[in-house]
This record gives sequence, structure tokens and C-alpha cells, in this order.
Amino acid sequence: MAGQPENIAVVGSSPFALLLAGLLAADHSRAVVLFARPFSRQRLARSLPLSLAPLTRPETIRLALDTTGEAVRVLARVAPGATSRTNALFAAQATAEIAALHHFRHAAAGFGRIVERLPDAGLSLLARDCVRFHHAPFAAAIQGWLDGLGVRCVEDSGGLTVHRNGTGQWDAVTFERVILADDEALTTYLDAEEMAGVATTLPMAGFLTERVAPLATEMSVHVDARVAIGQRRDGALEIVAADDDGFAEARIAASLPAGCTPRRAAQSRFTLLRPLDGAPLVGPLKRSRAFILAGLGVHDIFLAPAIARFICGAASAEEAAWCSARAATRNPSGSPVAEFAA
Amino acid sequence: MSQPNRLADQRPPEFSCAAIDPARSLRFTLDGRTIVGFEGDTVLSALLADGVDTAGTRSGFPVALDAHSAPAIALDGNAKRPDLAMPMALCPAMDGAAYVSIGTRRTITPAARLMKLFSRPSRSLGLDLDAGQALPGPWIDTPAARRESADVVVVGGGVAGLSAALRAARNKAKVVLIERDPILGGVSEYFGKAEGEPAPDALIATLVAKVAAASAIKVYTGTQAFDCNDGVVDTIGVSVEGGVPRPERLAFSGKHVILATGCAERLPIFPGNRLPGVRGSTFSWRMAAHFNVWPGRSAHVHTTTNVGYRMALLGSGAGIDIRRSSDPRAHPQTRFIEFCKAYGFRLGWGAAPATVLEADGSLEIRLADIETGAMQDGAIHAESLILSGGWQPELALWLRAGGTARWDHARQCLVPVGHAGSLAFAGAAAGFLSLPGCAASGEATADWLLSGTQTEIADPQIDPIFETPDGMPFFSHPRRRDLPPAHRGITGPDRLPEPPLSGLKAFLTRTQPTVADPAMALDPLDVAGAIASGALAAEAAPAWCAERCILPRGFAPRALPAQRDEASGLPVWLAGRFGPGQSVWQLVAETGRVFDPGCLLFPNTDETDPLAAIGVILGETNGTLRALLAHRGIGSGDAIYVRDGLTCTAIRLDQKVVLQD
Repeated sequence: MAGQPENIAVVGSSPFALLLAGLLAADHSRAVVLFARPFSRQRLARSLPLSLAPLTRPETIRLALDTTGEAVRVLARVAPGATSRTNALFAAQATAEIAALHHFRHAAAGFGRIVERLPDAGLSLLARDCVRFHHAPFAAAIQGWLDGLGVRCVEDSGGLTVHRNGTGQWDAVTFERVILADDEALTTYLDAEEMAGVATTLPMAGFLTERVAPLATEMSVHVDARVAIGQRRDGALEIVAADDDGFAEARIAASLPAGCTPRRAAQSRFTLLRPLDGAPLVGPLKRSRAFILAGLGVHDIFLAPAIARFICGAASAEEAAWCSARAATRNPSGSPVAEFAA
Repeated sequence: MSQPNRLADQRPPEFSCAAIDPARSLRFTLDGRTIVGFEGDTVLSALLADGVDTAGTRSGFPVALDAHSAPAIALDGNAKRPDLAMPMALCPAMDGAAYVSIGTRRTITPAARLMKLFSRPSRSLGLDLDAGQALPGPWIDTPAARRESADVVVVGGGVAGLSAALRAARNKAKVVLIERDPILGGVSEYFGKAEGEPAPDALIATLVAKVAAASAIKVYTGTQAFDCNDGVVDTIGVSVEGGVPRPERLAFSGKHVILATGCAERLPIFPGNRLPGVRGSTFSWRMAAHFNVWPGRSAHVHTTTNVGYRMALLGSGAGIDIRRSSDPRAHPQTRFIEFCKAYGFRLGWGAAPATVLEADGSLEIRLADIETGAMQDGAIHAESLILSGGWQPELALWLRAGGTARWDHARQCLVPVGHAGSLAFAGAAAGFLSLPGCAASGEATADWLLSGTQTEIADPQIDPIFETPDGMPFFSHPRRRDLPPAHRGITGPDRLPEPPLSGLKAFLTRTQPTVADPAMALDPLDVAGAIASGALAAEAAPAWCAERCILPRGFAPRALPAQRDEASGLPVWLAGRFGPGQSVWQLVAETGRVFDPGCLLFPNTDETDPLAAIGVILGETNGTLRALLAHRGIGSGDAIYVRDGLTCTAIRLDQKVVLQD
């Protein structure tokens, strides 16, 4: 018996939220309404998605590696050029971060990934053949893809009501599930007290620079400086840095390669939700029962197919175990999934 | 002929108060080329007067040299010193000086170099504008050489700024007045006298005399404000000491900052809108009124404003052959049109440039009907095209100070919203249109800031029956792929898209996705152009202005706070890594080799899957190798295997150290 498809409201404007909305409609036949901030797609990118991040939990690295191929195929359908293969540099100078990078290196190598140690000060790792996400082509094509899938896109102006049981209401439409899929959605729809129980906010700074000469490594993550640098195809640098100490710009200056002195072309300030134990938050919260997705990190978009399956009850055993272990209701103290929050 | 673009002696009165002294000619060099000018010229005005009208090329097409594209310059030998860079539009032309322009140049082949010897001097500075320009200029990274404080800093020396400064001084405030042009007064004179209003020149003369007599007001002309933060206005000017021009980086701090910055001129968007010979009407007016410079002996005037017709009248009065004028409005009414008719100009309404092509200093302008889009018969040939595209309040300082802006659909321009520290607007920047309105607005803003009194400001307008309101921004898409770009703005490479390829060509040519965001800081005019031409939604204006209309500074190195650099105890990210009973063990490496932290431990040599690991090396402390191990019934003396890349090494458990979790 073919019943009515489940109505799902996806709230969020990040590339991950948009892709998730599309996947729920395309691969799982859900009736999806996307509540997104208007015109956020033309704004500065807030993260530099990469298929491989300096993480320390092998199961997360494994999941990201397993789903990357599928995500790349989906993204190719959305926008040719939305992804590209690249090498990524992960660098650290401080002891704790160096130790974390060592653990990442051996775990990634155990899964067959080539992660070379470079003869730099501290520890520098070159991860070969990662997949990088490009915001511009995706932003240009995503609306057409969503329209083609019948995803209804609504300007998120607070008209959606999220009930205590995790369902939602918007005009005459009732949603069996409301998924808060990016940080802004979470801070908009959840009360601060409930959020404080699972995550803290981290002030961030994002920059776009003028074009510079090609860098030796297109993507670099400076772990202890908490700076990520990616070079766009046109030569401009996209930079995202933590700014909780007000030293973001100085740490960026210290992280740029010698001789690279770009000028800013755009800048933004925003906050990032950081789960208390550094690991992703997947699933309903204890009190509000809203289904949240937070702290998925820089490879969020590459995890989207697995997350979509989990939401629809179609996840593999490994995917379900990974998501269940990262339930938003978990106790962050002594968490067995606590992650190195690079 | 020397200075081919200098106006002859027969000039209208509006162009008779020039800053130059025609009796004192001078020579200087720029990039090795000799330029002739007059005392009082800036380097930019002298270049334009002497026939250099091209800044360089972008996307293979030349770009006009104007206030937007003029590069920074320095004295020869100082090109690599950002602290010695000067704005070309502010730097005085000095007799005997050798200047160099700062910017990326196209590579000149030896053959082209040889050809240059036998050809006419180039009209171009030869800059590669595809590489972008770090606007406003390299001085944005240099600290101010001198700081000055006042109660009120007024930016803009037009009618509103002068009125604000005088009223602030009357309120016993110490005032600094900053004006970019070498002459106070702004562009009010360009707008001419309206019925029932004072004559702009008379009002300006009165205000300037009062300002000169006010001891509490210190005036800085030829000084451009480029940043404003926390009540500090950063400026760049050029001073001359011993005949040598030097940049003067000053910072003015004030309890209050009044932005009387006026309006910038919107750029009509059509293919060829930034070719040499094409320029804005206020820039044209400034060049003509201050320096008696008018590039080209003939002109077409395209205007969506009433005052644009006045430029045609003034040009004609200065001996310029005004070929024709066009206006996208259907039936505009203005007193200036009546004058134009009296002069016998050909006027075209409901039409706008569809394409402009340039060859050998002559423009070929083709008009299209606004209603139908049909091309009009015949091309107009003129040496210059003067554009009056309407007004955009000058918001760059406001946005750099943290202010926000939104798109005003009725006025089709960005307008300021909210607050930004101690900043307040006055005059045209605040939306006032009339001369009395601008003057009253300056006074009212000063009163409000200093005494808290609010005054109602009258801004009398002529009835639309007699003066048609200015037209909306217009844009015309390229009809062919080989046309010059239709630039949306003044800064970056952003332009209207060309028609798509078709047929086999489209099949064979892989189109790169358009980069939605140019890698360049934008001017509010760029954002306005993007919105007016439909590239950007109006609702995105606040976010775009906040993110993009910034000063393109670098990332300054600065001493960082000391980092914690200890790794004591078990990191939280290893909690529960090997199950609830995991524990830390001391190990004995039988081979004596050293292992990195993170090396995985396995019960046998075959296993490589990290998820099947039974432990991990934590590191070496005081010569003791430690590992985190799962609780698997293993004990002291048992052997396990350390995998380090492709190698697998046996290692023996020594003793349990500390129980974690």
C-alpha cells in the first residue's frame, strides 16, 4: 500500500542542509519543504568542506571515506565542478595537536589513505587525493536541482512552528519531522538553555582574498592555529578561522605560506556551534525532540547521503551505529565518541 | 599638439574658476613618458589633458582612465614602498618630477616594443586590470603619520559639509573639514540654479568665506577619507615640500563624524560602458570646472537625469561639438531641455546606448529603443560619451565603519540604515536633493549631534510637471559575444553575461561555471549595479554590503598569545576508544625502535583495519613507551603488534600504568 510520503521540513541554508533536503526527496521519496534564509547562497562560505578531516575516531573517518564517492556522484548531478580532487595539508605545532594529527595519520593510513609526513617544523601531513567541495558552482545550480526534485523552498522567516514532539506546522502543512540542519537553524529554533546543554558557540571569521599565485597545497588546515585555507580555481583564497581570542587575523597571517600576502576581498563574522564533546550531534534532543544535525565538521556534505539514509530508516548497520552513538541526547562528559574538534 | 584635451579660452563661466594657472606650464614624466600640464594640475588631470585616457585593459578591452581606474603613483624609485604611494587624482603635477604608476603591467613583446618606437605615443598606462586593483591604494596598510583630534570631523566640503562645519563651529566645537577636491564647494554648481533657490556659486562663495574666517574650523582640501572606525577618519593626501610631493597619511578623531560625502554617479550598464572616452558626467564636470580638461572635441550625452542635459549645454559653451543626447525616459521635462532645444541639439528620448565601440579615439554609439529593444538606424560618432546615470549616496565610509545599507526600491539605490558609532549623514548622502535642503541638512545634523535639537528640514522640489524625476538605472545586455564588456560596476570584472554559444560551438566549448563572488572588495556602486541589473537580489544588499564593501587590507602579523603546549593525561578524544575497560600500559619495544603516537596495535600481524585495533601508542614519556589498550584478557609479558605504515613490529606489554575511564 502506497501511503502519503512523509512530510519533512529541513531548516538550514548551508550547502549540507540544501543537499540533505534534495537527497531526502530524490533518494527517499520524502515530501520536503526547505526553510532557508534568503540569499544565503550568495554569501561568503562558512566552511571549506573536505572529504578527509583531521579526526581521531576511526569510525568517523571510515564513514566519511565510505560515503564520499556517493556524495561526489550526487554533487556531480547537482553541479558539474562542485567537487574536485586535491591534496590537503594538515599542520600543527603544539604537542596536543601534534598527537591528534599522529593518531589521525595512522587511522587514515589504516584505511588505505596516503597521508605523508612532511619535513616541516611541528607536524605537517599531506593527505593525497581528498575531495574538495566548491561553493560557487553548487550555489549557482542547487536551486534548479531542488526545483526539479519538487523540494519546496520557503524563505525562513520564522513562520515554521516546531512542536515539542519534534513535528512542525507551517500554514496548513504539518510535518512529521523537522530537521534543524545548520547552526543558524539551531540557534533560531531552539532555546539557548537547551543548546547550552549540548554545544557551545565559537566566534568565527571568514574571509575571501584577492587572487594570489597558486599555492603549493590547495587546501590547508592549521590545526592549532584553527585556520583553514583553500585556494579557489580563480586563485582567490577562502579562509575560515576561529576568532574567540580576537587574534584570527594574526593567526591567518602566521598560517599563510611565506611570501603570500593577500588582500581581503570580503569578510564575515559568524558563530559556529561546537558540541561539548567535539563529536557530531545527530537526532532528536531530549527536551524539544527536534531532530538536529550539528558539529558534522568540514566533511558534513560528504556525510549527507548516510545522514539522509539514517533519517529515513534506510541506513546500513554501520551508518546507524555511527549515528546512534552520536545521538544528541548523549552525555557529553566522558563521551565515548568525543572528537578532536579541529 | 600639446594638451589636446585642454579647453580653449572660450569657456562658460562655470569653467572659469579652475584650479590651474595656464600661464605656468610644467613638464613631468610618468612611466618615462613626458606629460605637459599646468601648475595646479593633478597628475590625473594633466594626463587627461595631454591625451592619456586609458588606464589599461580588462578582458582584452581598454578601460577609461578616470577617478575609479586611476592607479596609485609614486616618485620613480619608490614604486615598491607602499608608504610612499600617492593617489594619482590627488597628487599635484610637479615640474620636473618623475612618477611611476603602481600596478601590474601586461608583458610587452620585443616586437611590440620596437613598434612602439615608430608609432604615436600610447593613450594608455598599459595596466593589466584583469589582475585587479587594490583600491583605494597601497596606503591603506600604512599607519597614519600624524593624528589630529577635533570635536567634529566633517567629511565632504560641499554645501552640506560647509554648512555642517559652520554650524558646529557656532556651537563652540573644534571642527576638521576634509575635502577630496582641491576646491571646496562640491558639485552643487553643476546642478545649476533652480527657481526660488540661491545661486549655488554665490552660496558656496559665502560659505567658503565664512569657513575661512572661522578659526575653529581647520580645512584639509585634496584629502581623501578612505576609512572610518571608532570615530577615527583615516585619510590620504599629498603635501609638497621643497618641490617634492609626498603622501600625507593623516588620521582625524572626532567625538562626532558627519558624512557629507554626497552621491556617486551610477554607471549605466551596456556593452562598452567603460571604454576610453566614456565617462561620468560629474567626473567630466570636475575635470572641466577644476582643470579645464575635456577629453575629446565632440561628445554624445546620454542621461537619465535632468542635470545631464546641463553637461551638454556646458560642453557646447566650451566649444565641444555635442552630436546628440539620448535619454531612456519617454518624455522628460526639464528647463535644461528647453535650453538644449534653443541650442539646436538633437535630442533622443526613450533610447539608450545598446553598444559602444571604440577605434582610434573615436566612439561608435548605437542606440536602441527602450520600449521595443529595436536598434535605431545609424550610429553616432563622437570622441566622448558623457553618462549621467543617476545617483547613489556615497556609502563607502559608512559601510567600512560598520554601518549597513538596504536597497531602496523607489529610489533604486542603496541607502544607509541603522547606526554606525558616532557617524551621521548630511546633505545628498542623507537623501536631500535641493541646495537649500542640503545646506539645512548640514546645519541640522550638527545641531542634533552637538545640542540634541532636532530640526525639520525642508527640501523643496520643483513640480514633476516641470522637472521630470530622474530615471531608473538601465542596463542593456550584450547582443553579440564579441562586444566590449557591459561592466556592472566600477571595481571588478563583473559584467552582464554574453549571449550563450549555440550549435556545435556550444557542444565543443566547455563553459566554466560563473564565479558568483568576485575576488575583490567592492564599492557600493558595484553592489548597486549588481542589484539594478538583476545579478543580486535586492534583499541580499545588507549582507553583501557588510561582507564585500570593505577596505582590502592584508592580514597584519601580530604577536600571538602563548599557546598551551602540554598534553597531560589521556586526551578526551580517546575516551572509550577501545571500550569501557581500556587501560594504559607500559610497553617494552623489543627492537628498541621508536614509535609515533597513533600507531595502532593489533593482536596479530595480518590485521590492518583501524576498527579492529586493540590499542594505540600514546607516546613516550621519560623513556617509557605507553599505549592505550582494550581490555581483552591480555597481561604483562604478552606480545602484541604495532603497525606503522607497512611494517608490523612485535612489542611486549610491561605493566598497567593507570586505569582510565
